[in-house]
Amino acid sequence: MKIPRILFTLSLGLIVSSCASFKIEQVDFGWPVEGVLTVSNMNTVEEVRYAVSFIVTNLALEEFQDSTALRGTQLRLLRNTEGFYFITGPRFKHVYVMKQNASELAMKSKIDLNERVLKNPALNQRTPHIELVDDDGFKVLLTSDDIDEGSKK
Amino acid sequence: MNHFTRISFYVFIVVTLTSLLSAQQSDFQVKKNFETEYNAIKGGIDSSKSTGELDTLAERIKALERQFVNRKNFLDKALYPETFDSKMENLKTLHVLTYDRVYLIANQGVKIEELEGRILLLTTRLDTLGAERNRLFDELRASKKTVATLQAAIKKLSANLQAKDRLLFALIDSIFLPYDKNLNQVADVQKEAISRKLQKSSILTRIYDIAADNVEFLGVTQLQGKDYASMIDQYQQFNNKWTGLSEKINAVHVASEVKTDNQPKTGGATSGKKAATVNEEQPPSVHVDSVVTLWYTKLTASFWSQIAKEFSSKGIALRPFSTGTSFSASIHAYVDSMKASESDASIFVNDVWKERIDKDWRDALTKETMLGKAEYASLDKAVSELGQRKFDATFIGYIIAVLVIVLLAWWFLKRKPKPASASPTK
Repeated sequence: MKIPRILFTLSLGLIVSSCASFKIEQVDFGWPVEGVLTVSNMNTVEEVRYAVSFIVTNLALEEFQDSTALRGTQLRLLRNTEGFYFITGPRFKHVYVMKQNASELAMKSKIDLNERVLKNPALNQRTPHIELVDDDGFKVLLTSDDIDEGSKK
Repeated sequence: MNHFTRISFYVFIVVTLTSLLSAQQSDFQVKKNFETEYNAIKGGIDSSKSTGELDTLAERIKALERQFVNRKNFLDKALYPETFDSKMENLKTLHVLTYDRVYLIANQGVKIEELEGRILLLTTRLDTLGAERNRLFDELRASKKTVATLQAAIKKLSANLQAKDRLLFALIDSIFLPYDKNLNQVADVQKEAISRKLQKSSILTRIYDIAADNVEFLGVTQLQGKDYASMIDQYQQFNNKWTGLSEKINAVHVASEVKTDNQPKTGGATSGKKAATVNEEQPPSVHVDSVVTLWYTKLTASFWSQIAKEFSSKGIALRPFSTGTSFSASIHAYVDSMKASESDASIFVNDVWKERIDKDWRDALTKETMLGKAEYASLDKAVSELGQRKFDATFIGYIIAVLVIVLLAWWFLKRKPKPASASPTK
């Protein structure tokens, strides 16, 4: 009686595993060019080409401890090939890496720029990195977690 | 360090610095710089008025291409759904088209000035003819003159209308001439300029007036058969010219969205009495179309009724007709009935057909819009056969009569009187 039960259990396991969700791999989520987004009076931004919009209140609180600090300013938003959103802007000391969840962007990492206050930053797609450039020839390559040490000047 | 080496050194420094700076540039800025320069060149092409300006812009196009060709792959993605190549191609095509147009206008500049003068002269002459036309119409309406004087007034008025017709289309040609072959490539600004010229010269009003004058002319005159051929020709020529012109006027109107408040609705510079209700949603040519149609309707109605009178005045009752087809059917039916009844058709054949229709109306009837040459020939043959038949019957009658007389004569001659009874033998 034991052998048939084992066989049955194995068969059931095979069936269940074959019905499990599958994956599409090696997806390139990267945007060719960053979005330069102006924060509205309602504290929102919208990237028209990729149809992404969100409220920046929490971002302003996190970076400036002031929910209205970003109103009227321009944010830089770029998605890397892995699908993480990189966000920064003038007066920022960090680059925020956000992960997309259902109806939300959750912070994956907060990249510290070593007390550098960005003046006129820009994000470029440099697969597999994101390049951060600023005035005075500042340029670093970023991963989704931190600054790529090899690119530091 | 000689002069050449020093220059080379400076060039090297500049190129290196430029490369370094561009390496620092954000991709977004690259895209923005490309688009800014692209739009500036495009705007420059649109507003350019000389080939010199366009030559400078051609250099800027080349420079733009050189500057950004290294970022072509990036721009192909960033400019989606367009590409770097498609943007450059658009710019070059626009430049070529604009260059052709500006070159054409620049080289016809003198001609345009001449044409402006001609337009003014033609407008004045048209107004003069308009005054004369009013006087001639008054003469006709008065009807107090002798028949000969009235005929002379009709001729003068007809000539006046034709002269106005010719002058008007010369005026219109002068307005469109510089752009005629390239109307599709003419910019909206120029279409507006054409539209303003058309309005300034009250073109639509004048066209409307000419057609309306002809309608009125048909109403106040009794034309003779020989007059109709030229009237039909005049209508055809006018209609052909108007058909071509109305397309252009509508194209200009649509492009410039010029309202036609002062067009036929108000009557404009000439008579101003033939008001037409203007619906601004309709193309401006619609009102002229309607009066041209009325002109044709009146002309054909007058034509066929005058022909009908030629027959009825001689007591010949034909089936009513109002078109070439019904006229043809009517004549054939009459000929058939005459053949069947073997009645005398000499009045129909000789007095009406040969003396009136064939002499006075043939030119007009043989116009393709009326009856046509082939159909007229067919009718003429049928009528002639009817005459021939009558002739043949009479001729045979004569022959028979002569034969009878000859036979009778022969019989009388042959019948010798019987000799008197023989005298008794001696």
